[in-house]
Amino acid sequence: MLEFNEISKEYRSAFGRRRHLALNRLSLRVERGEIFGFLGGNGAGKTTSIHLAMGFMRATGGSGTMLGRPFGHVGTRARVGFLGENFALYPRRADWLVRFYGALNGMADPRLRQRVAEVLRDVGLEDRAEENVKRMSRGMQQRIGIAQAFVNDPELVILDEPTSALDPFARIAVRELLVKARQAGKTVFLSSHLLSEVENVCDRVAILRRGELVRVSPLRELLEEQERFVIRARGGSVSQLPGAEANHDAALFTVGRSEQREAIERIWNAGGEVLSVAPGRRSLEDAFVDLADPNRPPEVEA
Amino acid sequence: MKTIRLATNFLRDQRWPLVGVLAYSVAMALAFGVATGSPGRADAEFYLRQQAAFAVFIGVAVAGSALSTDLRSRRLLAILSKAVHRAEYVGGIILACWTVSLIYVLVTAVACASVPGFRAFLPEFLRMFPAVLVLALLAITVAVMFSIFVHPFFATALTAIVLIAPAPVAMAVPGLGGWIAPAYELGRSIATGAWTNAFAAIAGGSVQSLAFFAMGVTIFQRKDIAASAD
Repeated sequence: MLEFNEISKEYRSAFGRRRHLALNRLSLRVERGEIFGFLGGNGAGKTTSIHLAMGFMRATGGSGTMLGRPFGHVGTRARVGFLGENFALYPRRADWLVRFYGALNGMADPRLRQRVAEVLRDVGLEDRAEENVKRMSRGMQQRIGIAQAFVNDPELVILDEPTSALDPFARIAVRELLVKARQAGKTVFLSSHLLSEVENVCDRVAILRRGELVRVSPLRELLEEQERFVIRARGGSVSQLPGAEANHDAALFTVGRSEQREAIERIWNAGGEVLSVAPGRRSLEDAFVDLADPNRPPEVEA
Repeated sequence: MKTIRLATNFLRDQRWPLVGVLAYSVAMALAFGVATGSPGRADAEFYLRQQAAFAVFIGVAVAGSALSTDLRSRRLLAILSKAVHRAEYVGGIILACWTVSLIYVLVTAVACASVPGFRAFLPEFLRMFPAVLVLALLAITVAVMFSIFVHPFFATALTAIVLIAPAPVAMAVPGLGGWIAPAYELGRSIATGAWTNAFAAIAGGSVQSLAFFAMGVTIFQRKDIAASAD
């Protein structure tokens, strides 16, 4: 569906005096029918990767394919939906605008008319179809942006921060739209800082850090791997043990699944008593902070 | 078809500036034609040649900033995320800007025909049409080409330089002037009413427009149109 092969992008200032490697040999494969989360901090290379895939810019090295064709193939884009970060719309009526973008993908009436009505309904703006988007709030404009991305009934949807300006109700509507797309066999490539959104809908995630891929994994696997247990203990010298956090009259130790036995033995050896062991499921945010932290030393990667 | 759609969309953005300059053209016709009662040949020629020059200038002014406006506002990304060739986009901008020039000369012609004092000079103005429209097309194409990689102000300045620079060569080789420096020859014909080299200049201007369009598309295809927003 979407494949990056050792793709790199280096930004150069005029005359090449300053260089910045935004993406370093990224290899990634997104499969048909999945919602793929693309995560990373600011400057990690997410938008650069998406812009390369869309053909907005050319890679410095490597290659990639979208729907089986090289990045930038014009005909392929008729089968792709795209919403960029910080997108802007022409000041037109909402229905006119969605129709305009559909027509640029080669769509024609009556199919186009039907799709415009459908997508505006899907984003909850069917009753404001005749309103000029310049008079709409940023959240509504974002919904129009989502509508134009879906108007051509795309096989692959690439969304860069699609819910950043949306209220919770609109976010739920977009989430339902993405799930519906997956059920229809479509593929969604979702770049977002809203990790709770990603956690709710994505099947797999990739995490980028400083232009390098640090992790690709099914979401469930990533969360299970990051599973933590909270051991509550007291007595002896447990409060002196490394990693102990004071909690009323006890000490808390947060450890991974594989470290449980060792931690409990250390508590016993210190003359302490284990009061409880409780699973503390970590969120995607916890995993993200661990993996995507730009200050983390490179040798810890992957 | 997509080129026409893009041009139409772009023209919609330009409708108020266009209405403004059209109003100016009509107002000037009224000022010359009505206020002076019966304008003389010199007045009419001045008005018509001035309007012809304005038609070209307005097209270039719009062309110089068209692409950069879409690029800076990031509206270009939404366009090029569709099944649109960059050549179609560049073609749409050129077509829209040229249409601005065309509308301007047509409205000027209508104004000319409507004002009694100018009516007699309408055939002369109509004779200028092909030269004005080809000169506008050439100048707009060059401006759009430069606007792909330089600031709109410099694009307009560079356009003037590129169009005028070959003039000394054209003067040195009179027979080939229309092919070497069509902008100069067309401008000269419009300004003086001497149409001796006009056919070659119209042909040369059309060929050069195609060449600059091809150059512009080639440059645009190699341009990264999006910077990282990560």
